Amino acid sequence: MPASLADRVLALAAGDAPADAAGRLRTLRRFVLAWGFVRSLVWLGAGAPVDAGWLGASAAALGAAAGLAFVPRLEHLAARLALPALAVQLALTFPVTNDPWFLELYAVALLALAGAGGRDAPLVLAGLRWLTAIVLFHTGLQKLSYGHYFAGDFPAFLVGRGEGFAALFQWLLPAAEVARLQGYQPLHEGAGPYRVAQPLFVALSNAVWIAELTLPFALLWRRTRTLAAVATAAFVLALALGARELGFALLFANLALLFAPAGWARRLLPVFLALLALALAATALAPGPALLEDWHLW
Amino acid sequence: MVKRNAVLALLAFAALWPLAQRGLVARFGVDPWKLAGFALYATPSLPLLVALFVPEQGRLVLVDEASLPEPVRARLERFRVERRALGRLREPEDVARALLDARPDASGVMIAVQRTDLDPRSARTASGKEIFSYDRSMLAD
Repeated sequence: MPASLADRVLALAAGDAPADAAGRLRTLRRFVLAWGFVRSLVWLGAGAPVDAGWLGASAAALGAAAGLAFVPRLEHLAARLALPALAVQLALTFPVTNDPWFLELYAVALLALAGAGGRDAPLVLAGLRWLTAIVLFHTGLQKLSYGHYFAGDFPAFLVGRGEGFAALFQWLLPAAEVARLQGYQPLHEGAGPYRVAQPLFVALSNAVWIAELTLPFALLWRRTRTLAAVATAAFVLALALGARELGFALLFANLALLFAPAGWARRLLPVFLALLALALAATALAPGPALLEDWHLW
Repeated sequence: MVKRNAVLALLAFAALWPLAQRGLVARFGVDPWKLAGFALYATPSLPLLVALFVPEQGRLVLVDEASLPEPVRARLERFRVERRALGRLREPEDVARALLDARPDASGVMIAVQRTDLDPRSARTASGKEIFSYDRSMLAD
């Protein structure tokens, strides 16, 4: 029977031996579930304005799921245990649930489809790769649709607010321009213009959405996959560290590593888990919303 | 086959939903940063300004939020958060009801909501204001 269009599309992101695919899923599963567990604890530590009992219960379930992910015989059950906990968190946070959380949900939902002993691992891996490419593409498409990057308006706005990835762009502007942008009160009607004349600033602004629209294709094309995986992880980490969106950066970098050679993610896992432990320790040392807000941990 | 279809369905949703979310932003003023549109850092997401007014001796007087009972303030805060996320899909009738319950002397309430965006043509901020007026008789069950 000839392959359907859907199968051919899925195959663009497939091609791994079942054992390799299962190994990749194992690494990602361990990270994503640990990420969800630590995220929930950070929410608890920050006093997130949701029912603490339900949040605590969902955190416990995510903790159990993260633990299961490290037990090879039971690892296929881990994501399935996490899904109800995420459903509870969606009910607690909707409609203000943040976008990285939805990426986590989608990834966990796909991981839940993998069976025992690596069954269906190639299919799930292809799904996760497509998910990564789709989400990265949409981040660029959305920037294109709002039109705030062509002349650098949104980065200039962030410089004015001292928010987001302002630090990545600010050094490209003379001090007087930074002072001008910071002098506006954005809630005042007509504040601005949040527009600058520096060509390098505008070029960097456009490079952001262009990278987000083109990297997904480079990720899916096998010949450029490794290079694109490195570029995507570096790009996301740079943007996210600039924006102090640490939580999203770690999650997306791990998804990008699905396109890199098989051993990379496994070798880097201890580093990523250590970063999660660091976030948790920082939350324990400085409970309250300040750390969460400063670093947008989640 | 079931799992393959589940993967395809999830990917189709992930691919198409952000387009629908963009439509909700355009049509209802939903927050671009919310509802899984993956439009973080695509456009500013500024706080909403919400003010309550009640008629007193023929003119509208600003309600001092600090003077309101805690349940009313909590409802108002919830409205601020949800309105910012859901735009015009979230109306403030429950806030009006709570305020009128707490202020039996007031014959009605006016709620002003101001949202600020960045205009891509001028690169300046532009505000849009919406007014919701509720008369006590209107809200009677």
